[in-house]
Amino acid sequence: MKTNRIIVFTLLLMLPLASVLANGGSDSAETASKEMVNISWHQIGNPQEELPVVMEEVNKYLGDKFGINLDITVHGWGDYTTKMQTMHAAGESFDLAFTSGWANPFIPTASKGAYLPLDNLLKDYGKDILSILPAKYWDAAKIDGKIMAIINYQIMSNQRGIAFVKEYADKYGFDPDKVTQNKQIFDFFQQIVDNEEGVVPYFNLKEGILPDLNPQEETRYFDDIISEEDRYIGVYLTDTTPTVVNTLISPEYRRDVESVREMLSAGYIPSDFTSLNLDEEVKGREYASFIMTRIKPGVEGENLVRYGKDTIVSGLYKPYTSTGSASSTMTAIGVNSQHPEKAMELYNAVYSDKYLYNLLVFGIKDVHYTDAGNGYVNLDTDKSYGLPAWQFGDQFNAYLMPGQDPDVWQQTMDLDASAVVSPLLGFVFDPSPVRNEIAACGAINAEYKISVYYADNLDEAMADFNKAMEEAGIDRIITEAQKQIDAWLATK
Amino acid sequence: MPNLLSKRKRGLLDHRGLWLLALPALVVVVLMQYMPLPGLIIAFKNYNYGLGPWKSSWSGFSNFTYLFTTGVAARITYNTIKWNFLFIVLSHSLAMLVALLMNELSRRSIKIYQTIFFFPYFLSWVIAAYLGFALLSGDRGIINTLLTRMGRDTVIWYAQPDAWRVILPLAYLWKHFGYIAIIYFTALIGLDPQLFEAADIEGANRIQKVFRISIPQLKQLVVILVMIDIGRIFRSDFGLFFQFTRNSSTLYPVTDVIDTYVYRALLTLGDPGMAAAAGLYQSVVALVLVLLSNKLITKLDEESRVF
Repeated sequence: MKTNRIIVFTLLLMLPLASVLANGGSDSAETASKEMVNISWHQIGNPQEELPVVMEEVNKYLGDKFGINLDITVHGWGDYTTKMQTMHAAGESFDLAFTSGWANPFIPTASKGAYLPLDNLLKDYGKDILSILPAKYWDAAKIDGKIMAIINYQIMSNQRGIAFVKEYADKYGFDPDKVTQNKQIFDFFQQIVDNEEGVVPYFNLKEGILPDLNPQEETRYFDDIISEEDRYIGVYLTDTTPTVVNTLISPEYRRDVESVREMLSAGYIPSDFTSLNLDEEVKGREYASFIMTRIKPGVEGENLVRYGKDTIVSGLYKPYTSTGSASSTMTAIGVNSQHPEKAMELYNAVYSDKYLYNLLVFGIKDVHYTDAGNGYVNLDTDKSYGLPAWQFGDQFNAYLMPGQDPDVWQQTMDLDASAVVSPLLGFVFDPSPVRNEIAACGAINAEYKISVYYADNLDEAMADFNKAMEEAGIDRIITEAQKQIDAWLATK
Repeated sequence: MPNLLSKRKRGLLDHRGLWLLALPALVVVVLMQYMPLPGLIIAFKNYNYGLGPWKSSWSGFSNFTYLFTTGVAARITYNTIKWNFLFIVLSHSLAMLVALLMNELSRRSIKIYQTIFFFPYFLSWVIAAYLGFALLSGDRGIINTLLTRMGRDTVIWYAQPDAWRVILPLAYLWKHFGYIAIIYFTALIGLDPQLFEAADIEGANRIQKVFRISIPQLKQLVVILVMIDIGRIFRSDFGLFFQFTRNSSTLYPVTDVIDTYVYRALLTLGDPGMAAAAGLYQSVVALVLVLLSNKLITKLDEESRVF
């Protein structure tokens, strides 16, 4: 007994001691670098061997101009969210970090106080950012009326599509741009099944192709409110008085499920597609087409680099702009940042300074890329380097890559201009009042949305699905979301 | 008092070699298991990253509700207990059997068996999942290819919950029994040879020696190992249930355990308070299970109890 008490007592003593030590350490580091300010930036991507070389060049530039010493840490695609969540939970200090709906999730982390509100910092140190990014998008980064992250300027609309391998599309005279009803795609798939032994017509993710939708004229049906994964509640994109609905009981969802079941039974997709991985499959096996979760002008060039396949990419519906699409790549400033104003000054420079931007994205000229003329770069060099361009401020600053049209940025802006605007653009849902329901519904949704594809009796399976969602409290989420949307509409 | 203390000090001095040996493990246990305990407070808080664990507001038990609100709660609890109980029984029986058999073999062949059995233990579940996928994949898996050659219908294994009632235990055994078998085997070769010599003189045969000497001598070790496993019963092998099944949701009725449910439920929210609540719940139930099983063992056989 006595030893136990001693152990507990020692531990209690050690706790404050540890925090004193930790604070002492950072204090002394600060005084040492009074003139040069260290800024840390956490990013997602493939870790780069050449990063230190590039950073040396970047810091020569930043040191002279701003007195900043920048330190970028790149975490792998699969690690980033976990690493950042751990850092937030531990209250670790950082200056800049990538955040979005799909990695280091923005809403939960921002609403739990992981980032600094940026309204004043933007006014004082981020003037270029404010002048470059169109004002209508800023609401997508607001929590409780305060801007919590800087939206990166790139394609702002969202559009799913299919990449058709050119070889097969040409062989069967299939022109994706002439599709006026998505079920015409199925005819192409059938030709592959009939004539191409060993080629799988299509690789999809966990969703179908809406057969009667006209991809040239119509957009997808719902804007999701909670997240891309949790699409069980939504608002019709055409609904001008936004009413939250249970999408699982909508005819559109039913048709989507039926289309997957049809593709399964016709052999258009691999029988166990839900347990397969897009990149592994497309690289390792012969497909006639595969899904593209978000298409944009010039994406064919990226496919060529990534999969070594010549493709024709076309949308499954017209693009739309929503809170989710506008906030899909952002950068936030950490709540425990020592130098938030310097961090903002730096980000302002990244946003507006074409030289700095391209140095960070493509590396050093004649080492990591060569100038191919007319704004194009040639990436075929001995030393490889490259960070995702949409992670650094304004992507319209980027040099052009092989395979991209010379007017790719103009095409992108035109596409955004033509996009359907969601009635909920700028509305950010606060999940905390119904977090228990969201946890429960999220788990149920993840389970049933797959099993309905394989169920023997679809009606029964859908009924079970809906019953389970009701038990998990989907109606309470709908009520809460409607309440928040009504309150948001009242402020507009 | 002074007497007691000096006695204790003498004990420490006498066993300083053993203490030194245990020191690294003790440090790890204190650092990894005891130091984070105060952090459990966030299970009862609306955790705010900016405010930190102490200043965040209290939330009562609201972080726990999502674990119990739906019909899933019964399923995940049942699956967790059922699978782990089955795994404990199967792996310990098989390990004991193999250890006894190895004890009868020549030294050289033991090395080979030992390596073969022990090897899977060092593979991560991620790698094991790929091996499993090579066997079970829908269109290209080895098993389905064989079935086609034999003129039978193929099976979509990752959408067949019932098949996993067999696949899961097999995968678990393949990966774990070797490790336990080695521990039992080490204990067996450490037994006093005089016991066996005496039995030989008395004319006991091999089977009699196993049941009268080997197994009874190992009883204490079995109890301790099983007890440790029971303590982990609510922390199921996440890698097995998540990676090895490729998180295939059609299999959830069979493969969904508390850990996989919590992972899925908090994917969108990433709420540390709710995660801590799940961890605390698992630990408390595990503690109760360990205390209960110790009590049961005490009742059955006073000598074998652990504490």
